[in-house]
Order: sequence, then C-alpha cells, then structure tokens
Amino acid sequence: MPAALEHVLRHNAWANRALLEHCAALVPGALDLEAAGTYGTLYGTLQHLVSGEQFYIRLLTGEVLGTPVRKTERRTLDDLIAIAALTGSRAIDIAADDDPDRVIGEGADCTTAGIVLAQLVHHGNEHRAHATTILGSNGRTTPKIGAWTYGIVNGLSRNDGD
Amino acid sequence: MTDAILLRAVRHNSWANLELLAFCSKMSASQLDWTALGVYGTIHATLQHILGAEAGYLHSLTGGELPPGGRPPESLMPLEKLVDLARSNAERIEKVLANETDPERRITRPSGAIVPATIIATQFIHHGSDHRAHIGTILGSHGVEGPNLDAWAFGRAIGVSTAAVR
Repeated sequence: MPAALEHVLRHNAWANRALLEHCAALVPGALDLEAAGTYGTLYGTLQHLVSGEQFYIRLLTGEVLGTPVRKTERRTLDDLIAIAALTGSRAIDIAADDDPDRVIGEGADCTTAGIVLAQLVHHGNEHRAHATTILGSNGRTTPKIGAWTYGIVNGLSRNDGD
Repeated sequence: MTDAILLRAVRHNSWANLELLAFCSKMSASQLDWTALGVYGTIHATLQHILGAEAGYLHSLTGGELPPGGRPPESLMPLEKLVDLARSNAERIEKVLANETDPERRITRPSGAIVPATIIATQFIHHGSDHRAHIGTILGSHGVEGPNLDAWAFGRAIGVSTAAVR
C-alpha cells in the first residue's frame, strides 16, 4: 500500500502545521504552559518537534533545511512553521526514492533510512500528543490533528472516521 | 521501496504496543488506574482503546473481519487478553498491507463516515503513538519512567541499528 506511506508523511506535515498555527494564535504567555509527564513547555515541545525533524532530514540527506533550530535559542512560531514545511515536504520526497535498508552512520552509531523515517513519524505523533495534553490540561482548546481530520481537510474523506 | 518503509512504521507500532503492555503488566491494578489531566483516561483504558481501535480499523480494512477472540468488549479486558489482541492486530495489519490491491478504495465506517483505505492506515499509525504518549505522560506525572518506545529502540531490538536515543 505505497500510497498509505505518502499519506502518513503528508499527515505528519499537515498536523505539524495545524498545531503550530493553532499555537501561533494563542496569547504569547500560553507558550510557557506545561503539564506533568510531558516533554516540557508548550513552546519547548514545538521547538523540539521541529528541530527533531530537521535533524532526521540531516541524517537522511546531509542537508540542513532552514536555519538550525537550537534548544538555546527561542525562534518565532512563524520560523518553526517555515522550517516544518521544508522538512515535511522533504521527508515525502525521500520516502519516495530512498532504500529503507540503506545504512546511515557506522559502528556503534548506525541505523537505517527506514528506521529514521519511522522515528520521524513516531516523534511527530508523540510530541504533538504532548502539546495537546498541555493545552487540554490547561483548559485550552486542542486542534483536531488526527488522520480523520486530515482526510476531511484534504477532501479525501467524508465525515469523521470515528 | 515505499512499501518497506511503511512496513517499518507499522512494525514499530506493533512492537511498541507489546513493549508497553509488557511494562504495564508488571504494574498493580491501582497503578493501571492512574490517569492525568489532558489525556485519554486511565492507563488500562488507554491500552484497551489503542488495541480496540486498531481492531476496529482492521474490521473496516478487511470488510468486516473480527479478531480471533471476537469483537473486543466495552468493559476492560485483562492485560493478557490485550497482549493477545495486540499480537493479532500486528499479524492482521501486515496481511492487509501485503494484500491491499486498491488503497484508494472508499470504506464506510460504522459511524457512516466514508474514508479511503489509505487514511485508515494513516490513522492506525498516528493513533498508536498518540495514545502511547498519553500513557508515557501518565507514568511521568506519577514519577515513573516509562519504557523507551521510539524507533531507535525498535531498530536496536530488531538488530538493524546500534544508534542510541537522539
């Protein structure tokens, strides 16, 4: 089912954008909200989400898309949205052509292209869940970023799948 | 090539479910009732939701097939039964992916929604990581470090990676 992989990665890119845009519309103080058991503050989670994807693309291609996102620097959400758009699109292109068994790295620090892409998908879903937990536990509206909504927004599905 | 990458993501999902179930199987009943603000529910209910939803997605993708034990009940199942369901889901999703001839075919879900098979497969992968993150949050908020369920750990478990957590 090769088309499904493309949708998995398109959903990832769409969900990142939807979450980042949702958070960009919050009052700035809301970006410092947090919840026990998650990654960190809402802003820190969003920054980690984007920097992680930037790192995975670098592992896969050697390319750094956009200015490197560093934990020590606070970037605007518009910056993060722009970088996430680049990495999300690049991941789709890579998955179309790459060999999943291609070895990346060597010795005690090697993996494969397929594992990096699986991690990219997992990482996005996991940390977006952290962000929505922070929002929900602080009484804020959470964006609908599941694949059902992705299907509706992109004209692929009719009504919610649940 | 793309099939193999999708398979990695699906196998990571199946592996992570079983790792999390193995971890939670060592917890007491009262710990399984832990929850946190902003997540789905208790640990036990979240585990059942992950696997019950997967069985539902498979029901749609296969034209109505049920898991070997029949439709999962609404009431909480013992964790050992959830392990059985996780194993069954893992086998069945691989068969679906291997045999799907028309990934864009439109499927009517029990809710009446009409959804392409590809979107159900996308939701299958999203749903697991989303709710396992909830359980990680519950554990963390109670001061318990959960299992490492990322794809790096999966790569090491299946012997294709040596890379550590990044």
